[in-house]
Amino acid sequence: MRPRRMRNGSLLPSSSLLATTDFTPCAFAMLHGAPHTVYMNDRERKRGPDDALNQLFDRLVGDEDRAAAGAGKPVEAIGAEAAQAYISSMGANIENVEAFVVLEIVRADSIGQITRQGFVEGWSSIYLDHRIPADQAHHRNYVRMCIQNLPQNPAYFKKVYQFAFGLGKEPAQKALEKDVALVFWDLFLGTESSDTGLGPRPWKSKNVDWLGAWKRFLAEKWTRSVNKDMWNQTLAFAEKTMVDETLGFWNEDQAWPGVIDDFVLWCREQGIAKAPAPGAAGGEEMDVEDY
Amino acid sequence: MASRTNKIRPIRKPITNRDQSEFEPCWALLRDAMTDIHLQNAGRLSFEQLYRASYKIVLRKKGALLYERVRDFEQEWFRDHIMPNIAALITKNLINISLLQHPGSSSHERREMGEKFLRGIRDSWTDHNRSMNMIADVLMYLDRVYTLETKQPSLFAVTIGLFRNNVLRSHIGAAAEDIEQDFVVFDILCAVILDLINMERDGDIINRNLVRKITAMLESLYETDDEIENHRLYLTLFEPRYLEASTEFYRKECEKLVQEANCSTWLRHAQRRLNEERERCGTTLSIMTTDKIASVVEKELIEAKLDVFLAMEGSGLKPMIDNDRLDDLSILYQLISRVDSTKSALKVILQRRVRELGLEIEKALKNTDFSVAGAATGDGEEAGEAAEKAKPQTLNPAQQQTAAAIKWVDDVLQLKDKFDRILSDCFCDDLLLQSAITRSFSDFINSFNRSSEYVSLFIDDNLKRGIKTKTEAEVDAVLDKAIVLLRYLTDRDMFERYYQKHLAKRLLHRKSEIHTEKEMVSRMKSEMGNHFTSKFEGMFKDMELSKDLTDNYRDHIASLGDADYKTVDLNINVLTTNNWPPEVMGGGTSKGEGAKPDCFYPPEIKRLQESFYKYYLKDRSGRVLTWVSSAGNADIKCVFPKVPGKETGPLSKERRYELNVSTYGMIVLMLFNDLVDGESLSFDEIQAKTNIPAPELMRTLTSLSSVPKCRVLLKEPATKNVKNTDKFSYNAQFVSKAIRIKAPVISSISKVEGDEERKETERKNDQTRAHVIDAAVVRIMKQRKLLAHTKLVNEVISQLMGRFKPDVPLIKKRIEDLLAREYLERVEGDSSTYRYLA
Repeated sequence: MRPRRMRNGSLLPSSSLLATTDFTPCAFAMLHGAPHTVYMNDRERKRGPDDALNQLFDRLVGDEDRAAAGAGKPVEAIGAEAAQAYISSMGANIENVEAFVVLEIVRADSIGQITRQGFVEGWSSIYLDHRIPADQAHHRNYVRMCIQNLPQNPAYFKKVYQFAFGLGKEPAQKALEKDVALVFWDLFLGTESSDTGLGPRPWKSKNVDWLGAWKRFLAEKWTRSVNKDMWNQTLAFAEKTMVDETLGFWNEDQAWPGVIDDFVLWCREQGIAKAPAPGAAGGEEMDVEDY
Repeated sequence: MASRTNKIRPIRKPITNRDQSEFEPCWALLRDAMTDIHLQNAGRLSFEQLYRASYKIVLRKKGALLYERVRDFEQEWFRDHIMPNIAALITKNLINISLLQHPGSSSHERREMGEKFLRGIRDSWTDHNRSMNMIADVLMYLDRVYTLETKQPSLFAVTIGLFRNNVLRSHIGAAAEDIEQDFVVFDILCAVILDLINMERDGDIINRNLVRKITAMLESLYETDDEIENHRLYLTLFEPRYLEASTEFYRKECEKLVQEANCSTWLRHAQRRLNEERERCGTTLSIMTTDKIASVVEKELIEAKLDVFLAMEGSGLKPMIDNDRLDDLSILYQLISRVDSTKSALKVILQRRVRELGLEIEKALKNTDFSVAGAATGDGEEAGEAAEKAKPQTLNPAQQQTAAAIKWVDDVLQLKDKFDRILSDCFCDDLLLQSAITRSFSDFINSFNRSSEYVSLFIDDNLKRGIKTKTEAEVDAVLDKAIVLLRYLTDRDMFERYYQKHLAKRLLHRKSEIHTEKEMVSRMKSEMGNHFTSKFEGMFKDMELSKDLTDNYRDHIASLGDADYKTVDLNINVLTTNNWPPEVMGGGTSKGEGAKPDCFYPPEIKRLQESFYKYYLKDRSGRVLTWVSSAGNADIKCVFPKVPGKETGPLSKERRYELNVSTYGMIVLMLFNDLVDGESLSFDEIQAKTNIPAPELMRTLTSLSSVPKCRVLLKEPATKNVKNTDKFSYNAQFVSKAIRIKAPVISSISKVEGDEERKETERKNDQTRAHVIDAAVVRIMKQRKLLAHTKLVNEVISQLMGRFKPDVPLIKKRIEDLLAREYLERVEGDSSTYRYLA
């Protein structure tokens, strides 16, 4: 079974991710020995580290996966057990958002499965972009660096967050089950009130536990699944609330999904956010036109 | 002359000295003459002599001296001869009355005194003016040469100006020692004039000519001897005081009017004042003031308390509109146009009133409904009212609603006529007001949630009745009115839906003239465009094709020569699914019913259907025909044999009738053909044999067994309502005076929907709108590729304006839906902009 390609194309941490950390690409190259990268022959240059990566993947394959593939056939994907083992071996916590970091790198399209293609392509492009050699130790380092980066780099955080949507939904469906979405939100945006504890980017501001409010609102008013737009826009909205907890940036004529409009009104009803005084309304994004 | 002067100048120089002595005699001559002129004794004077004297003096370069002497002479003259007269005029009394406004003097007294004073001033001015003119003539050479060369004011200007300096600006001395303020004569003059004018405003008659003389004097005097045009005393001194005093006067008057008068009086008063003031400027003051005083009146008398007057109960704008006080409205319009080009005060109240009256129509409708319901119950049900309460309530609301719809439309049209009349008769067809009124009409019409339906019903009713009672011209007028209302509707898609439904019934039941129908639709077409009427036109076309089809099929059958007496004459309407409303097409009016199973036709009909279908497919292979049993009707020839045992009366003979019934009715009646006399069929049996939906069957049986004029079936028990357990049998005793009988179709009245139905219609309409919005969004995005949220919303609104007024939340919802369906995506980094995904 061929893994589905993600719409968004590359899911690599962007170069800005590296620029904001101590691990600049340059530092990396020096740290891990230039010869490997400098003296590649043409073939190697073209194919990159694919052979090594294939070998790495082979080592992950468990008995069940082999059985699932059928005798004598190459194993194209590993199942939940092997995938979990791999994630742990990369130093990532299988219980929380760190697992998403690894899964994002290997381009998984569901939580319980890593495909050969995704694994090879994912690591291979990291190799090409950042010259991370194809071995377990360097991969571990890279994963650790990404995990550290997650709370600090909003762009990278957003990428992993958006990637998680594809991981969480059933392949045949277009939207995320509400329950799954709630768990995911806890993992990414968890605050003190979340069962899973603080996420990498807790959705709260000085006076408001926004995630808690959001979950209460959804429990009261929302019975449907969470589509991609709602998933993505929730993060965008979350970012804004963390800057302006009065919700002054919001305006009903803007392009927020209806559920977020309803949430804002609900918050005002509940007294969570006071409606700004008339005239004072409007954040930096006010582009209301008269119709 | 000049050249000669130049030549001889050196020679003359010594002469000038010698001529020094010549000045005095010349001056003496002139001085005497001036005295004579002042004393009006000029008849004996020789102009030539005097002119020569001044000429000589000027020639001798004594111009300056002469100039001075003349001025001094005049000043002296003033002092000695004129001022005493003036001083005599200024009595203490005058000062008290005019300047200090001491109370206790009657206006008559004041007028007498004031006019006396003015006459005095006028007389001395007239004298002075005449004298100065004559003197200026005599000394013309001085002005021509000396004054011009030295660039001084002309002698006339100087001497005439003396009047200003000596009279008008002279201080009031002895007569008023107890006044602290320093008054000059002009102050008195001005006060007197203003007082006179106010007297005239209060209805006294004053000497207008006298006042006019004085103002003319002020017009011809200037601030300085340079005589600068804008510095006429009239403009610099008098006019400002006049305007100020008038402002005061009108402010007071307006306050008084607010207290004491009503709006109508005020309007007329203000109009009269405007005319008076204009006239006064012509007769009494100066036309230079016309516009200025008009604006004072406008500001103080009209604008200041405009809102108060307009809001006056009983006489304000509202009662004016309500009672069609066209005169008042005309004046009001003229006055308001003077003070405010946007006429906003008028506009706001007008709009509010239109809306209020519109809502009143709606309210009246609600109130009338009940009384109509009562009346209808009385009319429709002669017997057994109390027994069956549920029945009239289910039947009558439809008729009431039709009546309500007609009433609503009539009322709205009447209101429209009323405002049209006001607009054309009183408001000069003012465009601003016209559009304001139109907007208000549109507001209240669209806020009424049944307007679309009612307009369609109105047309329905008129086109139906049109055949019998109305002339072509009348029908024409009705169509025009319908179009007028149609223009106001914003939810035209709703109207389209209703109209389609009503039109379908009219066409199928042949209740209207086809050419009138076409006329109506073509008007709609020119008003709202092709897309709006395409379905209606499709319906017409179906009807025409069906007629041909029917004829051809009949010919076809005839040509077969198989003259079977059982042949049923078929009149068929083949309807194209998309053009006709789903209700008519048997789609079922209530949701969730799905495709109704077809009823069981009698074999004769079955054969006919097959025969026709075969014929139909000859030229049109591949088409499917579905028989809509709920929409057809049938003529049945029935034979009621002689009732045994009856020898007299109608029952003693065989009776033949032609019965027109619905298709269902026909199917039911056919069942009784096979029944032995005396046997009956239960409701359930009939249903099992025909498969007609229960509610329809119930209605059909009611029509055939309960309505006296076509009671061809007997019901057991003989109650009014049909129940599942009832039994029906053939009514052998049926008698009717008419040969052709039309069985009434119970509750198939096209009429107004019930609440349930309406919700259903609205739901369907909302669904359609959702699709229309989707299509619009996709169309726009396909063209633009990238577009910001607000712009997209605006564009959708402007595209759909002609069909309905989309609501913003709905548009937003549709955009969200398109995002979820991946027709659109948000642009990375700017989540309020969308990209079209091909």
